[in-house]
Amino acid sequence: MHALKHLARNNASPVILLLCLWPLGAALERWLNPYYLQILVYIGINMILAVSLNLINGITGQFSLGHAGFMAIGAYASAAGTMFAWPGAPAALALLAALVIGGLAASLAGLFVGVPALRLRGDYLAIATLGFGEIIRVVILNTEAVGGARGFFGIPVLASFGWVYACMVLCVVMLWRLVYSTKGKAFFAIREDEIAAAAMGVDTTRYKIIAFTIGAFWAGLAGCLFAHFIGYIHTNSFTFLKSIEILVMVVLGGTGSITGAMLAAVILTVLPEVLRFGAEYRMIIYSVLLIALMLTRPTGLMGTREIVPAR
Amino acid sequence: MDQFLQQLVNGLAWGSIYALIALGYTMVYGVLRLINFAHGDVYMVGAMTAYYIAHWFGFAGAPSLPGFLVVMLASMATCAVLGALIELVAYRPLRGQPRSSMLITAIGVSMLLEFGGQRVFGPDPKFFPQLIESHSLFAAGGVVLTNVDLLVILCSLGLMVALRWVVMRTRIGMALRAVSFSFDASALMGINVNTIIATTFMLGSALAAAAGAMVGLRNPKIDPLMGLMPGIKAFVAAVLGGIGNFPGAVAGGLLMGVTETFVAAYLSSTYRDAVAFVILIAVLLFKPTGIFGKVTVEKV
Amino acid sequence: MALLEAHNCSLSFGGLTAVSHFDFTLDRGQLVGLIGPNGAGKTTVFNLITGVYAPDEGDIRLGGASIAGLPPFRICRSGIARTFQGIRLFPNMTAFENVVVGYHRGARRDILGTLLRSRRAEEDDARVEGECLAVLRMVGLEHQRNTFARALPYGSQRRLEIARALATHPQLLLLDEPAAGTNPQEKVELMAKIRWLRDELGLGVLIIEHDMKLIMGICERITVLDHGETIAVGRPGEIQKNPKVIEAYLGEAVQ
Repeated sequence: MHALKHLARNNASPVILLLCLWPLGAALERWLNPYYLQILVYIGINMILAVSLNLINGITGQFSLGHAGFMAIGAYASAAGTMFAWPGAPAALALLAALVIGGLAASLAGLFVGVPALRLRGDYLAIATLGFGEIIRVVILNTEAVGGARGFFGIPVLASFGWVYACMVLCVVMLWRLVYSTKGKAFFAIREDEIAAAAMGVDTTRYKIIAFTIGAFWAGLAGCLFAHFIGYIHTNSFTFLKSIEILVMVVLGGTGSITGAMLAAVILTVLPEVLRFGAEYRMIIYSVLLIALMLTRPTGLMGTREIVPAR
Repeated sequence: MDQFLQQLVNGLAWGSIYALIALGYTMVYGVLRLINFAHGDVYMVGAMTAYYIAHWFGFAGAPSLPGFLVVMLASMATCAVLGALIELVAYRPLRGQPRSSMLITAIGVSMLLEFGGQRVFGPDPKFFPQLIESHSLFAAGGVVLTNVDLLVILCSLGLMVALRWVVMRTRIGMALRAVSFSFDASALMGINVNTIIATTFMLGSALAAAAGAMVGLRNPKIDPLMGLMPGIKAFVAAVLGGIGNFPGAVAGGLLMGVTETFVAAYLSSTYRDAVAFVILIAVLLFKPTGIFGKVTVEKV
Repeated sequence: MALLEAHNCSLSFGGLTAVSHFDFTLDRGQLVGLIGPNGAGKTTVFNLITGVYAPDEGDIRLGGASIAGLPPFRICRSGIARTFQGIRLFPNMTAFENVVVGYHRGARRDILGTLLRSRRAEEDDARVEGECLAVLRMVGLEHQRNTFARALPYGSQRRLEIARALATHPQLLLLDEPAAGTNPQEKVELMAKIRWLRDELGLGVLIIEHDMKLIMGICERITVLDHGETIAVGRPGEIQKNPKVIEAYLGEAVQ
């Protein structure tokens, strides 16, 4: 009983939070302007993307520029599942299945990228992951079964505020507990000094693969949520530029900070909407922001700290 | 057979372009260990600059070889300045920092050039003036070799030879090679490392600009995002040849051009761009040091 | 059976022979020194023992089992820990966290418990915390446990590196120039500490050092390397008088 009471005490808040999200979502759907609701949903999806990339880049120090590729796999695999594998399924189950398919497909890709990536140093790894993301995009673009160059239409809109934020909460809680545990310190150690970490008995290979796989899993999940919220996906949403957008969130938030990444996701989702000067200026602002950040405050908003102390 | 030869000509022409750009990547990587993401966009600026110079100074109306050469040289000079400026403002302040910071900044500069270019030059493609009238020099069966093709190949060759002369036979070139080996040792020997690095960027950018001008001649449609794919392909070419290795960059560039052209011709043109990435992944998996590269061991 | 044995180990980098025909034994509880002029191959020997490089020929055994060619993390788990010539701490992690990484293997592997924060996971965390604090106490750094490693003074950083190595529960400790850059007072404390580690924990210790006073003061046996070859092995007194050693360090005697 003691152990169960313990579990209950430690997990009560996240569970209660999770359960509140659907009613909250339903209320927002009724009362909130759909445009604002859409922004909130995008914030949630971007938080998952930023936090998952942060695990790979910020915490474990593996420079990955192909995150959009994992997102694309998750989006397309889950959409294909919903449309072709189980067309008549009840909404909640269908989405659950889609999430699992999207996440698993993406994490398999993460494994596939992670294993060879292990031998590559910083800048080479960046280019290799960039290349991987592009190859994925080109392959999907040429796959007629999922719409090819026309895009994938008619995906059932199953995701909602509740689902998106529930996934986000699960993602953040899982990653937080993982990296701030005893064994989790290995991730940070690999970033700090891989050779020293290995000399201290850390199986760096294993942890790097784990980081890539988990990071890819959540990116895939985010892709699935995106696909099932908009109802239509096209490879143009998953280009190198998208990978860069997510990277900017991680860099702005502070490499290694989970809450920093979340904060940056909020800022960088809302800002373009607030400053509506049109798409061309947005990318110019991003690039100037990136350069300015690196020149003045490369550790980002939060550096390596969290808004709520973790250590 | 005719198609084969024709595609070979095309491949070599493109390959020469990639080689010129690849040299810039390899030079910068050699001295700074930095992948200058913005380099491909300097190539774009080179093409655009040549375009504007041709129009503003009246070369556009009167096609001639000397005219083109003047335009190309002017573009090379302008981009050399641009390259030095980029290094000064964006990379030099970060020299002590972890490599990922510089890489991220490079991505930022690249995007700034691309999207800034879209604002400054306008997003629509422009048509590069026909500074040299294209006529075929040699036509046998189905194979056509135009004077433009020949110019591209010879001019690139000339520039590469010039670069080799600079690197191997001048004091600055020797200093450049020294800095590639060791920053600190070079500084201790009295070499002004900052000047050498600036020079490296200037040389690389000038070559990229030349490539841009020549591409304008051969494929007249130019736009602010034209540097993206060639930039990546040239980088892959540099890696293929062994990054940091000059002959490697040239070999890699030519191989890339020829391979890509043949894939597009015989397999499918939609996979043309993917060739570069497949080559990249293959090289990184099987021989990361490239064809001519050396393995460097990190001191523990 | 000796704790560590090396038989005829050689390693070359391209044309350069770093270490040639290296033979060595070390027993539990022995304090041995490895000296030689710069570039003699001392750190390379460390790197061979800890798996950073695999020997081109020869074998290395720990407790009788061959470890040559194993990856570094496996060798660490077999019981060898090291410090580095240029300190390699985790700069953006606190002293405590640095030691926790060293203790990595000692923590229970419990994915579900970690994710659900079970009682067992929390109890194990508390145990790890206690053990790591104890290690910090061993080197006198328990009060700096929340200081970032990059912010620690140099001498403390060297001690932290030793603490981190100790947290891996080694049988053999390899110290690469532990006294470099420390002042005389710190050197005396270091000597006492190393002796204490051997006495209290029964560790075998192999030290690379340039500080002769320290080496001669605590080592029972010394191996001298020059240009990758072993030129002398013996007790401190013998080594100090050995003409080949003197020649290696100072050059030929003037006639």
